[in-house]
Amino acid sequence: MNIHLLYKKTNGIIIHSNRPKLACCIGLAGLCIGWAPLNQGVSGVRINPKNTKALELLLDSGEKTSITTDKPMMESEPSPDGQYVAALVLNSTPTAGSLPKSTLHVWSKEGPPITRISGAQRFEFSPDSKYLAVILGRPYEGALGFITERVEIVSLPSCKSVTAQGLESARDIAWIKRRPPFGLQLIAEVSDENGRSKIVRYNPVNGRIRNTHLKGLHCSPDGEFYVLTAREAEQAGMCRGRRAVTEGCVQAFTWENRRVRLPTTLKIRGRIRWARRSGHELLVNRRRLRRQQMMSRSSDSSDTVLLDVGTGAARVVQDAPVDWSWRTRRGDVILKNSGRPRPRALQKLRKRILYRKLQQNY
Amino acid sequence: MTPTMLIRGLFCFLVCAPGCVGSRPVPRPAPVPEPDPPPTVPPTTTACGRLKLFDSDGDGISNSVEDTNAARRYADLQTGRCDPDPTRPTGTPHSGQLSGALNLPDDGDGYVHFLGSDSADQDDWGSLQTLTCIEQVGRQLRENNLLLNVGDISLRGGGHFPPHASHQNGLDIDLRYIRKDRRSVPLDLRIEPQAYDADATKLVMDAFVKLCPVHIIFVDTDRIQFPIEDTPIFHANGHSNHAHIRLEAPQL
Repeated sequence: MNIHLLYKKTNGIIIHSNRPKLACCIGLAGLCIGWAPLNQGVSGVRINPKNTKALELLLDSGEKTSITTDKPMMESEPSPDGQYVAALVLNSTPTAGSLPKSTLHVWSKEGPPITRISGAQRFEFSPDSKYLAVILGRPYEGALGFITERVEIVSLPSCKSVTAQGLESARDIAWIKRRPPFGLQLIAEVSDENGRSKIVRYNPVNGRIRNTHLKGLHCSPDGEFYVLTAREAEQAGMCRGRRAVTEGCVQAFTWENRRVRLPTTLKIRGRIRWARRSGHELLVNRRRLRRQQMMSRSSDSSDTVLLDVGTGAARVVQDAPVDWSWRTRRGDVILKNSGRPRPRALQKLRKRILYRKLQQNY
Repeated sequence: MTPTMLIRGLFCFLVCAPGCVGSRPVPRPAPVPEPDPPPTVPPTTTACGRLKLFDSDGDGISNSVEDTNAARRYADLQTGRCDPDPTRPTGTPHSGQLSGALNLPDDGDGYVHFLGSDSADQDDWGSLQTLTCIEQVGRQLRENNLLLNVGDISLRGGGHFPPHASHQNGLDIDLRYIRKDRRSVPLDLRIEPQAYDADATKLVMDAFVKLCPVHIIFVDTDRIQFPIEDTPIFHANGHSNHAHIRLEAPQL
């Protein structure tokens, strides 16, 4: 039975989950409808917005803990199995207008850092948490924010690091796990001598690189779909013409059997995230201006949409702004209500919680 | 009175010739002084185009761009002469060229070009449309006491511009986000979110959309803190320290 877990804390943090396992209700103040998962690990991580030297961890048990560093942090991420946490730590305390280098710190869920990788700019845990891919480079004001020097593949938990040959020009990376014989692969956007981008796949076991026909990196967890962002679609020449761009040229493709099909055009302007456990569903944050008729002023409103790429169906899962800094393991998402609490919206939310629990899905 | 006299009188009456018999003397009109020539007003338009304070020959190339490029011998441009647009962007931003590229002046009206890790006059070559767009937005922002910080555009002649994937035909512009302290220094929204001025940055984006043929804008939508619906603004990874504006290719 697929129970929808959702609870709200008094500080405005709202947690969604669709884990099938039941456990005790998390004893937090305020509204509490839901169950904690049984596995022990890190389910959420975020940099404390008031103190960027502190990393807050939310454990599966519902407890909160923190890791403190002596320098500010920029980005953080838990591994999919919840056993590791990685964060980009600045090498120096930033002064106004500086773009300092950063070091990737990787912690196990308890204890000191297990490895540090200097010069890291971007990192991605593999879906099975056995590898960590890291782009190393130096900061650059423009392009993708850095100039790539190399890509390293770190095996966990041994922390043995291997330089990925042939990915020296990688701009972005992502992991996909497909059915055999493909298995786990790192896909990377690289450029040739003429600056033309292409997407290659790298096998972390034998170190081989193969070209792909892909145009984008945002693959669904089951490997069935990928989504082109506006930048990727532009680059691939897929959304020429102003109208297409204005209406949203983000597109989803199936790529099974190397045959690209265009099932839907998505009007997505923000960051694209796959709900990793649900297969085909995208989590989309929408912000828009809502004009009030009686008063001649407009207000900012926001919601989060769960979009099934296969069918094109969209469902609003949260009618509030979303802070993406929280993220649970296994692809569940923790949403932080970053706006001011709106009493009417909260009342609707409470009703929806009860109804959704009965509906068993969202 | 004989008929001859009648006819003569009628003729004289009709032509009012002086000295005619039987006609009343007509006073000779006083000589009208020659009117003064109207004061010389400089023409507002020429065969070239409309004259403006910043474009004294009306050819659509500002004095600043003409002076900079002529002084540095990048292009044969003159103020006071009608110069045609020398720039020819071809191809796409990801695979293109830019012949006759013009160099953006390093310090203009409402904008400044920052070098980053590039050397001078290496990364700021664009089409005339791009440079004109930057100047127009800069003039508008100056009224709001804002200064546009312009980064990479294209290399001279266009082509591959590492580490960019695009920026190849002079139609892409990188901009810094606006800081609250208004200093012309880098700003990474991940590192200094408290220094970011979302309202001012929105003004910049609005000005570009209003004044320029904007094709698409890439930003870090998670951190810019203003709505992007009904705008050509999209998210792109790696844009936490700059916004990227791409213009439509001009119709040649």
